[in-house]
Amino acid sequence: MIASFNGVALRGMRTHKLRSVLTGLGVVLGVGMVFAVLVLVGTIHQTFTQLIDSAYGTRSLIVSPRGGGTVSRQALATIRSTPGVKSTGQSIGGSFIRLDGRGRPIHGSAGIMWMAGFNSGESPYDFQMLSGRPMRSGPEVVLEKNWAREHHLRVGDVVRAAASPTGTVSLHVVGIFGLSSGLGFGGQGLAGLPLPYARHVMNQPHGWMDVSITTTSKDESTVESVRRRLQRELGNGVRVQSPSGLEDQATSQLKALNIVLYFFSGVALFVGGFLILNSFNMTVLQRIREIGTLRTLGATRRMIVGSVLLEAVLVGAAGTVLGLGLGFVLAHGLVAAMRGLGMPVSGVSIGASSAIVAVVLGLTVTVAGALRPARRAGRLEPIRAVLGDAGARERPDWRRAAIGLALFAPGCIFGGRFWMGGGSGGSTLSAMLGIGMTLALFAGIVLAAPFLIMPVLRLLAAPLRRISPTGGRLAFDSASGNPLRTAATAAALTIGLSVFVVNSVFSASFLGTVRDQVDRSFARDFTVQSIGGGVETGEAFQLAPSVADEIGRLPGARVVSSLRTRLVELPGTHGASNGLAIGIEPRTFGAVDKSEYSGASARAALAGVARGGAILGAALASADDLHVGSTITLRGAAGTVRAPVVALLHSVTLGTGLTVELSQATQEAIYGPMNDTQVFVKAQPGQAKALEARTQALLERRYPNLEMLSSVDLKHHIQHQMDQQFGLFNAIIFVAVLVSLLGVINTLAMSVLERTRDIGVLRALGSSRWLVRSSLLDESLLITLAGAIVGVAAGLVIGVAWIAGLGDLIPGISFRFPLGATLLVAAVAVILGSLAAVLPARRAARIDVIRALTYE
Amino acid sequence: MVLPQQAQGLLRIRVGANAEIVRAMSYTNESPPPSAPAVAVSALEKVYGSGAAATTALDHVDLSLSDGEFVAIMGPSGSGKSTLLHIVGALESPSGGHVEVAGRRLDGMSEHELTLLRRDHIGFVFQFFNLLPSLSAIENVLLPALIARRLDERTRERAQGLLARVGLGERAAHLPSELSGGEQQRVSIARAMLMSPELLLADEPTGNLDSRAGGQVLHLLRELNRDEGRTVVMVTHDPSAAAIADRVVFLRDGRVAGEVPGGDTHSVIEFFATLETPLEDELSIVGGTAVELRPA
Repeated sequence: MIASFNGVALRGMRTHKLRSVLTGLGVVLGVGMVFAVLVLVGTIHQTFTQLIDSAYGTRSLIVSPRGGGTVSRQALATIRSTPGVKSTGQSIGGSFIRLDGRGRPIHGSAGIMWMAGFNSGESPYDFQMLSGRPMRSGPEVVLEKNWAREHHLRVGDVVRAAASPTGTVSLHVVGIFGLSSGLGFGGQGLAGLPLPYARHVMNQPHGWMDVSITTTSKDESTVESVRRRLQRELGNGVRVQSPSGLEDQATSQLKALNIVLYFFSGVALFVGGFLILNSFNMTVLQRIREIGTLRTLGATRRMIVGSVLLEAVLVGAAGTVLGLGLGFVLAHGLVAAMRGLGMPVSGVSIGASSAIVAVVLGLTVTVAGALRPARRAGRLEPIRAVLGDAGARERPDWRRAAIGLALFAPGCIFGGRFWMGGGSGGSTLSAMLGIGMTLALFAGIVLAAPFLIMPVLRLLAAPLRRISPTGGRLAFDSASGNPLRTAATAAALTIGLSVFVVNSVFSASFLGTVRDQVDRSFARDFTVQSIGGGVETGEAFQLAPSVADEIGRLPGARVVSSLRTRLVELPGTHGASNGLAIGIEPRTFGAVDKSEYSGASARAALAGVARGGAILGAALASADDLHVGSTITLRGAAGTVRAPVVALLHSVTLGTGLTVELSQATQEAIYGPMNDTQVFVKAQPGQAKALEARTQALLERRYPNLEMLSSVDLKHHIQHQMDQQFGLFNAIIFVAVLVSLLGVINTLAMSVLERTRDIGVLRALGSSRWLVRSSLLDESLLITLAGAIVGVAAGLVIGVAWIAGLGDLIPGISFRFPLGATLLVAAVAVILGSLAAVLPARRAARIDVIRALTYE
Repeated sequence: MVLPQQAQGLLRIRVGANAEIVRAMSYTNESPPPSAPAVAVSALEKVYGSGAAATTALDHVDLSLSDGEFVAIMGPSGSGKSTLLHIVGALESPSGGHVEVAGRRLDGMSEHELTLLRRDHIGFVFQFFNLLPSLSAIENVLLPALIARRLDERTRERAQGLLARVGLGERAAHLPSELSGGEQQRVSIARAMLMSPELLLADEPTGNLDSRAGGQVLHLLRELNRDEGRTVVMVTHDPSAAAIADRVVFLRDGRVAGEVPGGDTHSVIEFFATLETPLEDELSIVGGTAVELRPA
């Protein structure tokens, strides 16, 4: 027996289980999405902080070269003699590619081994030997336990690897160590070598990659004063920071990715929230007579609003709990997807804060989504509600369209700039503004939806009515009779698809632009680089100094020009260390690369570089407000150079535009010496194929860690990287599209419930079950098709506008439309959306006529 | 719609004539002696829409119901009878004029005050019963107490008693879908009576029932009126239903067209016919009997 007024709402929920479940589904999906993304962001973040934490453990300070380079022997002496420094640990580092039993390189992250060379006892890291002994001399190696276990390596085994600069080595596993956190290294190998042997195989005769310091006192102020003193004495070429500072640095590098992820979770929440709003609108519509009765019997507006909100809170709470479960599963899927793409990720980390944020957002969005329908329910004139003729046929008014346009326009014009701005060193604020604008843009689409979708629907109806005169007619009448309901149903899909189209336009435009630029600027026949390496990995994968010479001596070789790329912190980029300092050989570079520069001819630009000048990527120039003729000040471990800007490069073939091209001599003067990272080769006319074969043979024999890539291969390589990045986004968007499809099912099912009585009348008047079913299927086809068309169109408009606005951030980018992918996804969405109606349609066709006529 | 002059004259005569008839029939009505009016309506106006699209639903209606009276309101479709009932029931606000229910002026009351008035002083019975499908019969009866947050043992007993009174004591736990139309309407009458309202409003309570179930419902309303002294206003199309009332008030084109004492179906039919026949767009001839009464 019901004991209170609120019990009435609860009883209603129990009686209309399907309605409650469909409403709750929106919450489940929305919360699940958000929670999954938050967990993913947390996991990525944790991967880095825990690695740093466990790697450096109890060390107080870390000295590392600012932007590549090494810490010199003199600097180490200075550190050791500084008061307050108790002891130091220092290492050099490099990457090796592991070889399989037959001496072939293992591709992908499983093949990459990060080697640190240090004297045991002077390790900069918190390594703990778990079995075996520390390495002493010669080709001995200690391995990180997680990686060793994964690759079935034990003490006593031999690991064959190709050292980046010097060739193949066979290393004896003498010990297994663990990081103090017990974590692995993101699926990649981590190993320790004896220092003298490491100096030899890594071709790093002097200097250090990093120096960690234990201070005499752990007291914070002491550590800070030592830090300041060291920074002062060592100069700007190195960075002295605490492990937490290193974490902050790592975190800031992840900012761009996080912003994009937050953006997508915002979209997910928006789609989920929209679904919830829709569901509650429908719920209120269905409850209209009941609400009218309650009002007539003296229930106040407040009580009605309260009872709808109570339902919202209950549905929201249940949905949120289930959503957390779904999010947990999704997060594991996304993390697995990231690992599959070769990104280093630790185990899934579920922070309390992610759960709290997801719960709060879930409940807030549910209640907020229900608020408007609830207030509308409260405001109903009781007698209209009781007679069931209130609110059923609302017509959208033009103010709605105007507000929609007002919300759409700024996001369309500026939204892309803002949130892409976060990616190349822009502030978090501007990124947040961009996200806000973008969400407003989607809200604008929803508001304007009736005005966009209905005309499309009318166009589509004509052929449909020819194919299926009665069912089509009924379907169209039903869809057009209640434009707000129809638009709300379709809008979920519209949003989902437009996000997909924008994302695909971006990836297609990036990719298309890169391909064009590769085609235009590549004069080389092929490129030699380390497996796992490339322009964007900087100095991590270096080539033996002999590689370029040996290829140059091969018959048929005409020009060999090497590239030395370093990841550095460039001026004007807010401390982001993802800038690239590229050392070229200006005399030969013009023969292998036909890039066009602005501000100078290619010949003049390269001559300028030879004289110590710099060619800046367009994004760097705009970030630091530099132009041809101005001077850029570059600071590194070896020194500071003020280089005149001789030209600007509007191309993304050498990174996303935060680049500075220097001569290798200038580069060394700033950042210290390094080896080549890529070698560009041009063959003599007609000799390309033969030279390729000879080079391939050379690499197999002498340098198994290197690979030879033709321009076609390189384009694939770039495409692969793009796919990795956009693949993650696509995975998230796929879930959003799925959510929106479920939204379509949801609203269709609810609209069938709402029309139970109408269907009863149709059946009573002699419509066959088949006619009822086919008219509902036709209706869902009409609605999903209209929603998909508007979604693709909206995505295109946003895509064109955003790409146009990105011209100076991403040089030379031009709009491409991924027709195939878009049509495919739109078709799948329409098919799934139409299939979504099968269940509601079956249900409608089976409705008992008498029951339907008296349905409340 | 403006009544032609001639027809208006006709009506005036009709009212007089019917009064004569009723007096002649010497109908004995056991209504209580008149006291302060339970409902007083004066110069009531209701206009829907505005400008050229404006429709006048009620046009200067004056009506007074004494305490404990049972009044039926009849009239052709669109005559404004439901609108009148809704306004008296504080469900709709008038465009002009005054309404007083149980000594309270409705004009000037806030929406909230009107809601409380409905809750505490007015009971409603609808043509389509309007029971909540998810609640059992007894829970539906208790709904007003749930809304007023006055659910106690005494109220439960009263609800049980009311259900027994309407002959459904045994079916208290049934859902509306398990009850016949007549039974549902009786539940809704019990619901309307729960808070002992001074005024019971019924909008076509038999409109959706067969004659037997309708008869039971009417009988029940009459009983409640007589035994508990509730003032009842019932809107109906059905002359035999209207005849159960103490008084039948006729509306036409938003105006009071006249009234006859209840008790005799024929006099009601006769009067109703005069309202219906002169207008060609009103084709329903109630009870199958068209009575031609022309002035001599």
